[in-house]
This record gives sequence, structure tokens and C-alpha cells, in this order.
Amino acid sequence: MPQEFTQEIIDQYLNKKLRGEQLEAFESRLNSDADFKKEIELQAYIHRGANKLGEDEMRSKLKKIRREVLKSDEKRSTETKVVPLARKKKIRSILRWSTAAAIALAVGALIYMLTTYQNMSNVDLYASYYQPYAEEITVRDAGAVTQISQAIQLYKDKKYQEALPVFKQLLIAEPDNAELQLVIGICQLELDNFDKASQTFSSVTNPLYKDQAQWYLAMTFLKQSDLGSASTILDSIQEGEFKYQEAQEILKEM
Amino acid sequence: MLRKKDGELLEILRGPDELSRDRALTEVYRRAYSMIERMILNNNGSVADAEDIFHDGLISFYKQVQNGLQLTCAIKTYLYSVCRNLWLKRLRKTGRSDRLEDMHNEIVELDNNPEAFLVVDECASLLTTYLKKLGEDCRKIIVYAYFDQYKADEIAKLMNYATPQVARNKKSSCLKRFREMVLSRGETDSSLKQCLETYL
Repeated sequence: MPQEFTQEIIDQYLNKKLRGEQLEAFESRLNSDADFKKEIELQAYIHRGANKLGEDEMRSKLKKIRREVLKSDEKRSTETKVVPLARKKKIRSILRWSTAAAIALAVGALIYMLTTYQNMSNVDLYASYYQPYAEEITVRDAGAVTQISQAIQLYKDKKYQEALPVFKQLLIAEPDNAELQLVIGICQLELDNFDKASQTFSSVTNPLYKDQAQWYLAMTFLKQSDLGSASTILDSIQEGEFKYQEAQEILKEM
Repeated sequence: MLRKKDGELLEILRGPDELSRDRALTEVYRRAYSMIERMILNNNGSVADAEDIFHDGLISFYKQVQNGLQLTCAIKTYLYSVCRNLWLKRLRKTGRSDRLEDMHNEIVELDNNPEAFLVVDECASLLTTYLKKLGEDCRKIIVYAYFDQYKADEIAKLMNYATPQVARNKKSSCLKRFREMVLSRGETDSSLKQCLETYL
């Protein structure tokens, strides 16, 4: 009486996961039982068809991912193109100003100028580099879709005060949803609730979003002119991670 | 060196959470694409070629991950080597060139043929049209089981079934239905008939 193979074993064979004695037994049955062989060949054909379909589906998914990635790259490159220009101009005009001031005014005035410039530049750096999180937000609960789209609209309209409680409500159902954590942090940052914003960004543990959260945490410190904490975080952003290049630029300018 | 984050990405790609998997794929895309595009543009290729090869490379990589791939280098270095291999083969096949100038100095020796993880035959394509006729649930289960290689408990979770046994039963009945559909259509659809004769 030949050994019966369950669908699970057959699947393992098709997925090339069968090993050792089990594989030997399977192969010897293939060699001795023509009907069995025929059945497995049919299933192997089905297996290839399923793999082809899986590939096709993944290809269309990759096309979608490609659009997303290229879109955010474009955004990033225009940002870096525009920002340094604006900054340099400002520095130049301030320098020109300070030369005039040095001649015309006393040293005290110059010190005053320098301190104003210092403060301006932190806020300025923040304003030049900061952009609210703009990726799509996905929630698992299908019932929450209208709720989330309303909140996103409020968020896009910069009505952070109104969007915040809705996002927080959604986070209760999905406490580890990093996209939600990010937008909540942004709302808090926009509302100058710095402590809460830092807490939120620090609580992101999902490895895929950690670098973005770190970036926004640095932005939170920058907005408060806490350059020490900002630079520590910017320094820790590694090549290939979110906003690496921008982090390097800011570090240089600081 | 394998970065810590790369190990985490591999884990996510292996796991049955589709949302996280798509995010991991996005992350890999972001990290590796530009390097591979540069290599292809500098070696007689177009942006369209780069997209094509990169997507093939990513799918081959994904399949290898499901087969238990262990990495000793960064994901992007591995992907570069996979895509380099695929592009070199295409260059040779189309007679455009038989060598390739590298843009990246970290190439790893592959111990497999990345093309072998991709399905290219017409007969398999033909079968996909029939698989789609099987209905949403069955189509999903069969792809989960064979392409993503998810186990019964993982499929149960993805499909919201109470137990792994429900997933097993469902998969068996889907396969049975599909098997019958293929055999009966094989009698009227001449190309399917030909495919069946070649395979069986």
C-alpha cells in the first residue's frame, strides 16, 4: 500500500521545501507511480500559473510604488535646489547690512544684529526645510475610512487643531500605526506643542518609519532653537535614510 | 556588512503582513533603484529597461527571500548584483554587448541564477486568465500559498478564517475546483490543451 501524501506535503514539494527522507519518499513514489506523477505534474503546472499571477500582481504593485518613490524624490530635489539659494541670499544681505552697520553704528548695534541673525537663522532653517508629512495614510479598519479621509482633509487645510483629535481617536484602535503617529506629531509640532510632539515622534518604533520620525524630531528641536539636540539627531541620520542630504546641509549651516 | 535595518526588512518581507510588506518594498525601492538605473543607463540601456530589470530583480529577490535567502551583504548590494546579472544576460541575448561596466564596487557572487525564480513561459501566463475566473478568495489563497508561500496559519489570518484548518480545507477545495476547470477547459481551449500535453 503506497504512502499517501497530504496536500501540505505536496505543496512543500512544489515550493521546494521538502527535504531529506520525506523528499526521497516523495521522489521514489513519483518514479514508481505513473498516475501520481501525472497528478503532481498537473499541480506543478498550476503552481507555475499561480506564481506567474503572483508576479503579475507584484509587478503592478511595483509600478504603483515606483510612482510614489519618484514623486517624493522629485519633491526632495526641488526642495534642495530652492533652499540653499534663498539662504545664501539672506546671509549675503545680512552681511552687507552688518558692514554698513559696523561703519555707521557702535559695536553694540553689531552685537544686536548678530543675535537677531542667529535667532532668525534657526527659525529660517526650520522654515526652509520643514514640510508636513504628506504620504498616504492607511488604516486597517475599513470602517474608519471616512473618518480618516475627513481628518486628512483637515490636515491638508492646515486645520491641525481639528484634525488632531480625530487622528488620536484612530490611533486608539491601532496604537502601532506609524503613519498615524507621524501626522499626530506634525499636528502637535504645528500647534507648537513641542513636548507632546517630541514624545510622539520618539514613540515611533516601526523600523520603516523611524528615520522619518527622527527627522521630524530634529525639526521639533530646530523650531525651538534647541540646536544641540537637533544636531545630535541630524548627525545620527545615516546615508540612505530619509532626508540624509538635508540633514547634512542643515548641519553645515548650523 | 548587513545593516540592522536590512535584517528587519527581510523579516517583514518574509512575514504575512501585506501592508508592511508593501512598505518594506517601497523602502528597498528607495534605497536601491537609482544605483541600478545608473548602471543600466551607462550600459546601453534606457530608463524603461532600468524599470523592467529592477522590477524583475525585485521579484526574483522576493522569491529568494521566501525560499529562505540568507544575506551577508546589504540588500541594495545584493539587488545590484541580481540586476547586473539580469541585464548582462539581456545584453548578450540581444547582441548589444557581452560585457558590462560597473558603477558600484560592491558586487557579490550569486550562488544561484536569479532568472530561475521568475516564471516566463506562455503556458503559465495562459493559466493566470483561468485562475482569475476562480473567484477572488480562491485566487488569493492559491497565490498566497504558492507565490508568497504563506503557511496555513498565516493564510487563515490574512483571510480572516477562524483556524488554520479552515484555510487548509479552503485551499484544497480551491485547488480541486481549479484542477477540474483546467482539465475540462483543456478539451475546448486548444492552446491550453497543447500546454497540458507539454506538461503532463
